[in-house]
Amino acid sequence: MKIKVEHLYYTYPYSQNPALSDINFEVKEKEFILITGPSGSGKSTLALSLAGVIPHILKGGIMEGRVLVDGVDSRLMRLSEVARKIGMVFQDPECQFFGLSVEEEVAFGLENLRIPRELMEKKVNESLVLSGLLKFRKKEPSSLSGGQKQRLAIISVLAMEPSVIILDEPTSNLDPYGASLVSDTLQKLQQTGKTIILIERKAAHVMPLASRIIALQEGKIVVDAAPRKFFADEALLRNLQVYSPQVVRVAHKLQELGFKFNEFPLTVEEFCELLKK
Amino acid sequence: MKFAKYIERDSIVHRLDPRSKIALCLAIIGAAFSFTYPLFMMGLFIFVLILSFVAKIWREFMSQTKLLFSVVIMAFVLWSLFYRWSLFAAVTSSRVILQLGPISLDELGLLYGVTMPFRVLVLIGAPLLIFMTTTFSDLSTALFQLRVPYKVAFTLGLSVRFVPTISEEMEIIRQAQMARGLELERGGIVKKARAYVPIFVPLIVRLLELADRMSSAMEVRAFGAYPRRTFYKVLSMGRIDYVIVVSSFIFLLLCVWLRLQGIGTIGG
Amino acid sequence: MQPIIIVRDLWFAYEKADYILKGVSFSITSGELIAIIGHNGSGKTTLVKHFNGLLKPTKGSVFINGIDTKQATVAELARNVGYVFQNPNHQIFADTVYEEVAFGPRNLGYDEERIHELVESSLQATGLDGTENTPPFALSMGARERLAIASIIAMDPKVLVFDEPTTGQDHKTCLEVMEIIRKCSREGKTIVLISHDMELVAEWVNRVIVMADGVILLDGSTREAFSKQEVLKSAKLKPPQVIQAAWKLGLQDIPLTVDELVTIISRDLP
Repeated sequence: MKIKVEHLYYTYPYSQNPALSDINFEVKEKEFILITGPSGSGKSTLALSLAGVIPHILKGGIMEGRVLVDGVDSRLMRLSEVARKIGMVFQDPECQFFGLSVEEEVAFGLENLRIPRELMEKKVNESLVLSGLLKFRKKEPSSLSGGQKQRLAIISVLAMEPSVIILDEPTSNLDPYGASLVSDTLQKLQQTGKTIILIERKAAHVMPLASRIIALQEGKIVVDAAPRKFFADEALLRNLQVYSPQVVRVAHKLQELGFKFNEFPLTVEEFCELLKK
Repeated sequence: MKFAKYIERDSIVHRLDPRSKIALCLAIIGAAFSFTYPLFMMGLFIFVLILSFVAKIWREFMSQTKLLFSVVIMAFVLWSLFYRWSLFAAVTSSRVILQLGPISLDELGLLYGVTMPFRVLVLIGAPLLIFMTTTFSDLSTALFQLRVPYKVAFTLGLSVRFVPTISEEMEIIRQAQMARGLELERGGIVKKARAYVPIFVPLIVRLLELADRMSSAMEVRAFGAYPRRTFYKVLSMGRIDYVIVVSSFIFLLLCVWLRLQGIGTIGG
Repeated sequence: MQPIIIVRDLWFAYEKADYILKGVSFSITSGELIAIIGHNGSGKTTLVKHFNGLLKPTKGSVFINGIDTKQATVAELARNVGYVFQNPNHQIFADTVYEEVAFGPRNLGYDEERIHELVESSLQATGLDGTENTPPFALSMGARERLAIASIIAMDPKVLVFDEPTTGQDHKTCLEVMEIIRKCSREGKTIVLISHDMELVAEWVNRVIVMADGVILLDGSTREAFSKQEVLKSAKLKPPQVIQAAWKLGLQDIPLTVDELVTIISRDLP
């Protein structure tokens, strides 16, 4: 399943400047794309456009260009059709639960898609077991921790079996423990071959997982590269004002002092290994 | 502890089908309105208390009904002294017990004064018991299976789910503004109302934000994609549930019949 | 000189005997910049809410500038302790930036002239000068965060408490916020930070109080705290990458910042 974005422009209603300008890229299967950039650079707008929320729900803005989902313009599809192919998890755990119990939250999307009950039961059980939330099945989501809530949101979306899952800053409101719960889930997800599009600002913990980093600045794509290439470019990082992991910064400074790395390190482990050589 | 929040316990009451609990609640409320007799009303309230004990939540139930204390006292005073002005009271003569200037306390008044507060306690206590022993999601499903349209039952469940969220947010906002020196205690009514603006504005903004985000989140889960949907959870009534529904119904009929016979009212 | 904050054997529970804070004691002298760190639920926020009286001790006492918090109202303590909450959207309500920032000092009863001075100087300090007539909701998230800080600085308290000032902010805003905090510290304000950003804490703060399950595990220098692996583990804290790297490489010294690690490596290795 491929997503192709062609010359996408979007301006919010009542806004002067476009939130997205001339966005062009393609998402292929099994990719793990990290979209980053400063606040206001258009990351969320891009996510909403990919998921079909723009323009189906957010009306009144000006949209040019198109988003092709498996070759079909998303504007010509119903949002529910897009939802079956592209799932989305939002930043705010509070807004993703609808007053049901944990197992019913997982079933919610399936009920909307008219999945027969026996199949639903099977899927719900599987999801709960895989995410470690089985023992909470009858409880209300409000009794879960932040990290568990986001995990629940992720499996609720996954139960609908989209090929692509978009996550808009899922760890922003979480403490480090919760954030690691989410990144564990993402790691498992990647291993199952799902296409993942993750929007994050401080992404040290998911860095090693991404196959591609897209950086936005003022609504435009300024970089679209593999993580190693992205972080090896010091001038770029400084210009973008995005966060880079400490080991990356250390590596840059060491390079300035004459150290040579065979490969540019992205994690603590890689850094230590590469330094020993 | 939040008001009327579900408390998880392993009790018979918790395990009952929500529909039978609703039936029981309606029967109790119906009975409370049928009669105006002090002993009966007290008996009803004690029944509700016994239920809370069987449901293993009697401690929490008691502490929440304590909140009604001031209402109860007020009801007692108002009814005993001023029942003659009420539309419902029987206007018969009765022996005066106390004279306080123009206001008199008579026997009939005392009977009303005792009955009415207990009625309040029953009318609030019965639903309270239901909310404390049944999750909103079960109640919502029950309503739906009682032929309330899905979108209505769902919206009701959704609104109710937000009550604790709203009170949490309000508490944070209140603390944040108090930390800026906001005085909420002092001042007359106008001043106090103005003092709440810095609390309500951020709250409303947050609620609008949540509502907006929730609608996106629901759509992305294909809500409303098809006119009909399938259902994951189905409630089924057990034998006890049928017994309760039938008994509640019979009890209610009995109360209405007795009332029509003129039994069970004060002064009649 | 008496410490500006004294916490003496503080115990706190919302409900009977379910103690969130269990016998916490420490003091902070005027002008210090300290951070309180620990896992979620360790009692960090519960502790600092005692500083401005939002919470009162169940047992023990808290003294702010000599005042026993049990005898003072939140509004009274707000004169001495400014508390910046995590989410600026929980505070913002006014029509203009000026009115928003003036809210605090006005509640404290200052006259309009002094209020004007205070508002202008806090807007300057947070890079918001010129936005006096802008509606707060028109500001970007980063600017709103600075607005929230300005609103509290304008009350001119001796102590500033920041509850997760950088969580959820982008990199640029994090740097801006920390610069503002550093400026306040240099002006002599006492700063208490709660943060779960260990990198930030290591880089900016000299003294750290590590909490876990309602007790203080360690109260000492940042370097000391981050060198004790057991303490960090009990508090469920992960040290910044430079320290993780230092441990893996078996280095003797503990680097707190990127530059320190670079210095150590370039010195010990070429």
